[in-house]
Amino acid sequence: MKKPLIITFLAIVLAFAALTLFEADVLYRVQELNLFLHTPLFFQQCMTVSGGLLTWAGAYLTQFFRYPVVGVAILCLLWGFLVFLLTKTFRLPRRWMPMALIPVACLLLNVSDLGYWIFYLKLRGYMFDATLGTIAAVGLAFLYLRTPRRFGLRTSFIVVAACVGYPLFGFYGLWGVALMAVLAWRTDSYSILDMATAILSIAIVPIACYYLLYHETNIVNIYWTALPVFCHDSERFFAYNMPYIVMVATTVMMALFFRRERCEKALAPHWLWMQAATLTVVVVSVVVFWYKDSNFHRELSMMRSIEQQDWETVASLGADMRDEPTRAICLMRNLALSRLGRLGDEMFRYPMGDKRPNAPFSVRTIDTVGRLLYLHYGVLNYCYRWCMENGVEYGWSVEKLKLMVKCSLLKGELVAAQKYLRLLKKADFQQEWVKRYNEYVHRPQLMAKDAELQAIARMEQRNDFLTSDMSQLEQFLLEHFATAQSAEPVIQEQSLVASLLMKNATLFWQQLFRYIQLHGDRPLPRHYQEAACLFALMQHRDVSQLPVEQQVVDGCRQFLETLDNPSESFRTTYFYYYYFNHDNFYEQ
Amino acid sequence: MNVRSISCLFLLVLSMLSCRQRVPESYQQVDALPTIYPDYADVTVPVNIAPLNFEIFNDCDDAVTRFTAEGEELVCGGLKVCPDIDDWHRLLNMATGKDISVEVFCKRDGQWTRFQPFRIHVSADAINPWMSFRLIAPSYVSYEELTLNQRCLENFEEQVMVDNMLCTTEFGGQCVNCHSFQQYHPERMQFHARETNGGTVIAYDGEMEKVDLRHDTLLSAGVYPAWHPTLKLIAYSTNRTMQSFHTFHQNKIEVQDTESDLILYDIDRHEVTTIAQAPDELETFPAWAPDGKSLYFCSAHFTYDSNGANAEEMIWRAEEVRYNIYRKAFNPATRQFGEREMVFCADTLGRSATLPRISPDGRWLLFTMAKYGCFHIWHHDADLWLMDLMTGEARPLDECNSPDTESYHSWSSNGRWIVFSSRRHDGVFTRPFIAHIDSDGNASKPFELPAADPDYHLQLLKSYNVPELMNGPVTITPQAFAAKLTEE
Repeated sequence: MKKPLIITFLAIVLAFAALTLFEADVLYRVQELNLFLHTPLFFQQCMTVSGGLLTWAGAYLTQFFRYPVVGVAILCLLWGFLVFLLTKTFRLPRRWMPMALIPVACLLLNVSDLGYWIFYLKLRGYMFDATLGTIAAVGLAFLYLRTPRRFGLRTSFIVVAACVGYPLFGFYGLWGVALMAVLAWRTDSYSILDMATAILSIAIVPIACYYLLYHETNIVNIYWTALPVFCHDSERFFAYNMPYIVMVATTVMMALFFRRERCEKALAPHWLWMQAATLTVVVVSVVVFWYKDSNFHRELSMMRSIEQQDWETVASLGADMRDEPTRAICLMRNLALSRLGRLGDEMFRYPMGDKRPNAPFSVRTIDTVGRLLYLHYGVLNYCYRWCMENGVEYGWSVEKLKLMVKCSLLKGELVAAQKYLRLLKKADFQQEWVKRYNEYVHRPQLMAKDAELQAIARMEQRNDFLTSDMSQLEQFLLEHFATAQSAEPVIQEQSLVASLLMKNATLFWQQLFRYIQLHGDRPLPRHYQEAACLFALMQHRDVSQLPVEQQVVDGCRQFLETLDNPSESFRTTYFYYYYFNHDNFYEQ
Repeated sequence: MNVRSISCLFLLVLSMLSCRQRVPESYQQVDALPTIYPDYADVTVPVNIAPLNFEIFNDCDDAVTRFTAEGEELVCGGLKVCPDIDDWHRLLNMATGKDISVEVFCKRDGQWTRFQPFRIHVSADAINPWMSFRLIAPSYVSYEELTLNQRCLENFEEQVMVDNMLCTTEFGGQCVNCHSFQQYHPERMQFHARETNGGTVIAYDGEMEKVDLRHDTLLSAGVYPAWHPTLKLIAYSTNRTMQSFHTFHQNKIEVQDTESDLILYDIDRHEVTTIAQAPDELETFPAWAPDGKSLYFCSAHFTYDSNGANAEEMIWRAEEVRYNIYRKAFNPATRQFGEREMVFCADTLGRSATLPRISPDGRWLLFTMAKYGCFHIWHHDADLWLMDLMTGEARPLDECNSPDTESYHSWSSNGRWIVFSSRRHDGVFTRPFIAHIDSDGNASKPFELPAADPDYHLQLLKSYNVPELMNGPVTITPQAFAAKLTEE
C-alpha cells in the first residue's frame, strides 16, 4: 500500500536532485533577472493586472534561487503539497496517487525546458507562478467541495471564487471555477445550477474586470492572464504551452473520475500497466524536453564568474570547450584573458566559433550577456542604455539595477546610483551588496580602491562618439576600439586585438607601433608576433626589423607553404585564424 | 475603486493617525534646516494644492512636525509627514496670501532636536485642478507600458486616461504620446498612437474620431500638436525623427529631426494644409498665441552638404543644429498665415530654443534653451527662459532652473502658475515642478508635485512626460479610447 507514496516521494526527490545538480546556474540567473521589492508600490504595480497576487508571490519566492538548493527545496515542497491537495480534492485512491505526478512533471518541465527564454519571458515570478497557480486552482475546487450545500452556499461560493480568484490568480482562478463545474456535474444533485453558474462566472467575471477594474490587459488576452507568453519577434511558440494543457487536462480528468467515496480496492493488472506506461511517457517527456544545451549553461556559469570577478574561472570555462562556442562565450573568454593579461598569448589558442544559441528564436547577445560585457569593456553609456531598454521591455531585475548602480557610480551620477541602491535595499538578500556600494555614494574616493570599478574605468574611452550599435554588440565593440587612439595600455591593446579580429593589416601596423610605444621593452605577446610576421610576409616587409622571434617566423613560413593543408598544430595560431576562420560578428 | 485608490485611502488613515502627535516641550535647537524630500522649504503653493507630504532624511528615530498658520496648528508624527487632507486644506485657506510655518523636531537617542523652521507661502492664485502627463520609463527605443494619466492637484487621486497595453498583443504594441487639450478643456483633447493601431485620436465635446494624417506629401503623421484656442484647428509639426547614442557624453542620447515642417489640420473638414515647409529649415514645436492670431514655432536653418536630408550628416553635425523662435500672423477668418518673423534669435547666442509657450495674458514667452538640438529633455544643460513680449527682453528663469535638465512646460489658465519637467533630483527621471509667476514675470521657488507617499517619486522608475494643466478630468475611459484605437 505504501508503494505509491514512496514512488511519489522519490519522484519529487529526484526532481530536487536534478534541478540542483544541473540547473543551479540557470536558477541563480533567474533570480538575478527577477525583482521583488518590499514596498507598497511594488505590490500595487503587480496588482494592476489580474493574477497580480500570484506574480507578486512568485517574484518573492524566486528570490530564494539566490541559493538554488533553498529555492528548489521550496519548489519541491510546493509540489509535494500539490500532490497531497490533488489526492485530497479528487479523492484519488492511493493506488492512483502516482497519477498526481503528471501535473508535477508538467510543472518541472515548465521550469526545465526554458533555455534562453529566461532572458525574454515577461511574466514576473515565472518559476513559481504555475505551481502556485495550480495549487490555487485545485485549492479553490477543494474549498468548493468542503462548502455546505444548504442555502445555496456552494453556488454562491462559485461566484465568490470567480470574483476573487480571477483578480488574484488570473487564469488559474478561472481554472479552479472550471473544476468546480466538472465536480458539480459529478457530485451535486443541483449540478445544472452550479455548472451554469461556473460557466457564466468564467465568461463574465474577466469581462467585468476589464471594464471596471483593470486597464493594462487587452480584451483578447483577458482569459489568459498570469500565463507566460512564449512569443518572440512576433512569432509564437505554442509547444511551450503544452505542459499547461496537459496539466489542465489531467486535473479535469481527475475531476471527471471523482467519486463520492474513495475506493481503495486493488487495481486490475491492466490498470497497473496503464499507470506504468503513463508514467514512463511522462518521465521520457521530461528527460527529452529538458533543455540541455552546454553552451547555454556555460554562458551562465561564465556570467556568474564575471560578476564574482573570478577571471581565472571565466577563462578556463571558455577554454575547456568540446562543442563549438557561441560568440558570447568567445567574448567573455577574451575579456577574461584581457583582465588576466594573457590575451595576446592565448586568445587564438582556444576553440573559436559563432554557434547560434540553441533556441527556436533569434537570441541576441545584447539581451543576454551584452549589458555585462559593455560594462566591463568600459562602454558605460551603452551598458546603461541596454539595462534601461531591457528593463522596460522585459521587466526590471536585480542584475540590471546592479549594473546601473555601477554605471552611475563610474559616471559620477551619484544621486541616480543612490536611487537604484534604495530600490535594491528593499529586495531580499541584497543588503551586503547595497551596503558596499552605498559607501561609494557617500565617499566616492573609495572607488579608487575597488579593483573591479578601476579596471572598468581604465577601459572607458573618453572620446565621445554619437552612434548606435544597432543591437550588434561585437561588431560595435570592434569598431569602437579599432578607431580608438588611447594612451591607456588596456584600451590600446583592445584596439590592436580589434585590428587582428577584423583582419585589417593597415590598422594593425598603426596599433602595433602604438602598442610597442606604450608597453616599452616587454616582449611582444605570441599572437601579436604571429600577426606582425604574417602581415609583413604578405606585404613583403623585412621581418627582421620586427620584434618577432625566429620560431614564429619559421612557423609562419611553414604555414604559408602548406596553406592548402596546414598542420593541426597551426590551429592555435593567428595564421590559421586569418585564413580559415570566418566567424560572423553580425548577429542575425 | 482601484488599487491605487485603496492605497491612498490606507495612507490617508495612517496619516490621520500619525497627525495626533504632541510637540516635544524640551528640545535642543539647531541652526539648520531639516533634510527633507521633496524640498518644500520656502516654496510658494496655490491655495488649492494637495498636502505637501514629505519625508525627513535626518538621522533620527522619530520626528514630529508642526504646521502653523494664523494661530492654527497641525501636528504630524513620524518620518513621513503626511497631514490629513481636510486639515491641510483648512490650514491653506486660513493662510491664503500668508505663510505656513513648518517646524520639524527629530528624536535621536531619546533627545529631541528642533530644526530651523521653514515657510510655505500660500498664494491666493489657484491652479487648474487637474494635470495630465505621460508616464514613461526614460528608455531610448524600447517601450512596454505607457500610460497617459491625469492627476487631481487638490488631492492624490490619479487615473489612467489611456493605456497602450489595452491595445497591445504579443504581435505588436504602440507608443501613445503628445496628449494635448484645447484651452485646458478636458473634453477637447487629442493624442497620437504610433505603430500598431497607429493614428491620432481626437475627442471633441463627446465625439471621438481616429484620423490618419499620413500622406505622400507629408514627412510623417502629425507630431507636436497645438490646438487653436477657439477654432477646431490643430497645428502640427511633421518630423522625420531619429535617435543616436553617445558613447561617453553624459547626455547619453540625441533625438534629432532630419527634416520637419508645419501643417494645419481642420477637424471638421478633415483637411490638411501646409503652414511652413521652407527648404533648409527645420520647423517644429508650434504654439498658438492666446488670441489665436499668431502661431509661434521653432525653426533651425540647416543646409545639408550631401544631396538631400542625410541621417549620417545630421548625426555628424548635431551640435550645429540650433533652433530660433519665430511667429506667423494668422487670420482666423481666411485661415491664412503671414510671413514668418523672428521672435527670439537663439543661434546668435550659440544656443538652441525650443518649446515656446505664451502666457494666457499674451505677455510672456516661456521656452527651453540648451546648447544645441531640439530634444532638450536629454540635455543636462537645458534651462527655462522667459521673454517679455512687450519689451523683447529675455532672461534665464533662474528662480526655477537647476544645474540639471528643465524642459517641457505649460501655463495655468490664469497665467500665474507654470508646471515644468525637471530632472534636477537624479538627472534621469523627470518630475513635474510647479512655480508661481507674478505679474512682473518673477518666479517663486518651484515645488515638486506632492505625492501621497513622499517616497513615491524616489521609487518610481518612470518619468512624467508633457505635463499639461486641465480644468477637470477627462471622462472618457481607457477602454473607450482603446476601442477607438483598435477600430478598423
